Amino acid sequence: MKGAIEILLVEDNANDVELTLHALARHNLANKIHVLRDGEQAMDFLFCRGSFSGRSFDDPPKVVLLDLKLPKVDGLEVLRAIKSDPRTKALPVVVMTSSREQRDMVESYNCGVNSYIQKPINFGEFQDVIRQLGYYWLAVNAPPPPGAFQRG
Amino acid sequence: MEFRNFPIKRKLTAVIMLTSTVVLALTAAAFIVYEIENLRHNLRVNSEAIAIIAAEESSAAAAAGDGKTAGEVLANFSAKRQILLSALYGKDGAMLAHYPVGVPVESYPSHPPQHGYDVIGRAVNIFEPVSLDNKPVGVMYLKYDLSQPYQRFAWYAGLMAMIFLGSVGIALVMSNWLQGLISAPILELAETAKAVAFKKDYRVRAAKFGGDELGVLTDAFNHMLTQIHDRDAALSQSEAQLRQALQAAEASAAEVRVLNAELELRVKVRTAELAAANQELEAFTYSVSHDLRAPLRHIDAYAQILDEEHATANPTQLRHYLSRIRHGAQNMGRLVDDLLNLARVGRTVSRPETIDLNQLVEEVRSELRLEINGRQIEWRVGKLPEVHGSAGLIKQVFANLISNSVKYTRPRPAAVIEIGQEPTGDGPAIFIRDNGVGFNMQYVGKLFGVFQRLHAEEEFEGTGVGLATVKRIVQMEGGRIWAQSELDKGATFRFTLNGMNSNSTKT
Repeated sequence: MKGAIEILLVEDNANDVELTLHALARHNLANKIHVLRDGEQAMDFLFCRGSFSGRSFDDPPKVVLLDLKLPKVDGLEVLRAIKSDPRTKALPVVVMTSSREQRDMVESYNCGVNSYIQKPINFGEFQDVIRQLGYYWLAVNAPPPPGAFQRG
Repeated sequence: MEFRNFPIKRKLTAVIMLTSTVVLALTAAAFIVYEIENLRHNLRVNSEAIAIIAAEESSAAAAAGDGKTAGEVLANFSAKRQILLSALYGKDGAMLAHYPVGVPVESYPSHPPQHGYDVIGRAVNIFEPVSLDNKPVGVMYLKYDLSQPYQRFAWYAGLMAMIFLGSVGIALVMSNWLQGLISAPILELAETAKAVAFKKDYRVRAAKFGGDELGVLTDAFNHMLTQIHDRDAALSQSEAQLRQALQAAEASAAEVRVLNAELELRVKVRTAELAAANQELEAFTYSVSHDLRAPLRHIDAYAQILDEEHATANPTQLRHYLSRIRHGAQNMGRLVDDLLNLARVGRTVSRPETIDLNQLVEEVRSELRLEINGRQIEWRVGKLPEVHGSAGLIKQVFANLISNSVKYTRPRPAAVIEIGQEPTGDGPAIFIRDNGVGFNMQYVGKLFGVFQRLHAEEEFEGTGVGLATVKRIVQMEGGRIWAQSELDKGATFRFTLNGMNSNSTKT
């Protein structure tokens, strides 16, 4: 089922999941979203293994929204894994975090992140960010063509 | 052996002997040459004088040609002297008489010269003209025997040789004695120098034999030895001082090295402590920026949603938003409490006391009774040791670990929690084992980090500070904590505490 998932949201905090989905739903962007709750699940999903072994690399999401602070495998490790594997390297990844740590930004950009967003404390601003982000990655940005992903 | 390598004694003797022998030989030769010349001259003068006398005595007979008288004159004359043969020839050269008569005429010269002197072997032939009134009347011939003067000369030569040999012998004896005067001080010097050179003994002195140049040399040598001895002593002294100073320097260098090593070790330990503290602090601030901000965002977000949607939303939704707001606030409060607790652990002044761990476990269990209520949990608590430490802190360790076991066995219909003591590679350790959900050993490194969680909040509640606090306390109490688990097959936490050793009570 090609194009089944457009947004992959990796977020451990239930409130953040709910608030993100709430913001996306308000702008009719929450249709094709999949939520994963920790880094291990994200790795299994992206590399089509474990409980996601039925998935195919031919069916990548249009964008991955990645929290940095995750149980088990943290977000930077997931980002590093995505960007260092030719099968997933072309995948657009947006880091969404409450961290204001400089080294998180430096490390994320060094790993090749496509966008880095600090979650605003103010929910109005947060909703606006989510709206722009969803609109940009799902409508404005041209997703990588299948040829951008190398076969493993 | 070459002459120049001869010992000086032999050299001196040889020099003296050579000199005296040459002088003696020259003297003897001069004497002998003089004696020979003298002898020859005397012989000639004597023998010619005899011939002249014989010629004069026989001149009358010769003039008369009287052979008989001439024979008498010859016999008379010759018998008294060492005349071997004698003959008188007349004016015409014919032999008038000869002596001794028994000797055949052929033994006499047949044609005598007028005058002659010929030495033949041990005899001399003399011819002397015989004249009368200054008119030649014949020739006198005499053969004179030289053996007697020759014998005397031989005796003289022998005497000379004896004197020579005697002189040489005396010279040898005297030179042997006299060379000592020169060689003895030199040999003494040489012996002393040898002794100094080989034994390095600068206290020996050369004996002085006199006030001559050798005496001066001996004095100078001895003076030199004194100076060398003094300098050697001074040198040895300063060497000893230097060695002492060097030893002292080495000792202090070694001391400095030891101190340096100690200092370095202390710096290393302190640096490691600082690095650990720094890392902890960094992890802490990092986590705070993530985790403390989140509840505030949530409270603000749900409040705003409530504000926007309270007119349109149904009561269930509204209650959900309100509960989320309250949850955020509570979560924030819990985080603050846990963090403060963690920070307080580091500042706690430990008041060590003897603690009965079994009693401590009972206290913790009774404090957890609300959470345990309604659960089926099988407790297997073994005999625990008495330890020495801060009761308040160690209780926190047990409270955290036991409540974790209670929490993570929640999905089990029949939970088993085991507490006891068992031997490990690090000596006896306390263990808390459960049959809960466990964790993947892949993430064991994150287990004790601040705000590190292996489960989602709604699955198992928690702030991620508990195990960090436990680890800090165990370390402060001089112990070590480690965990072992397999996903879905329970977990075991083991830790040691100060004062536990292999002699402690076993379960």
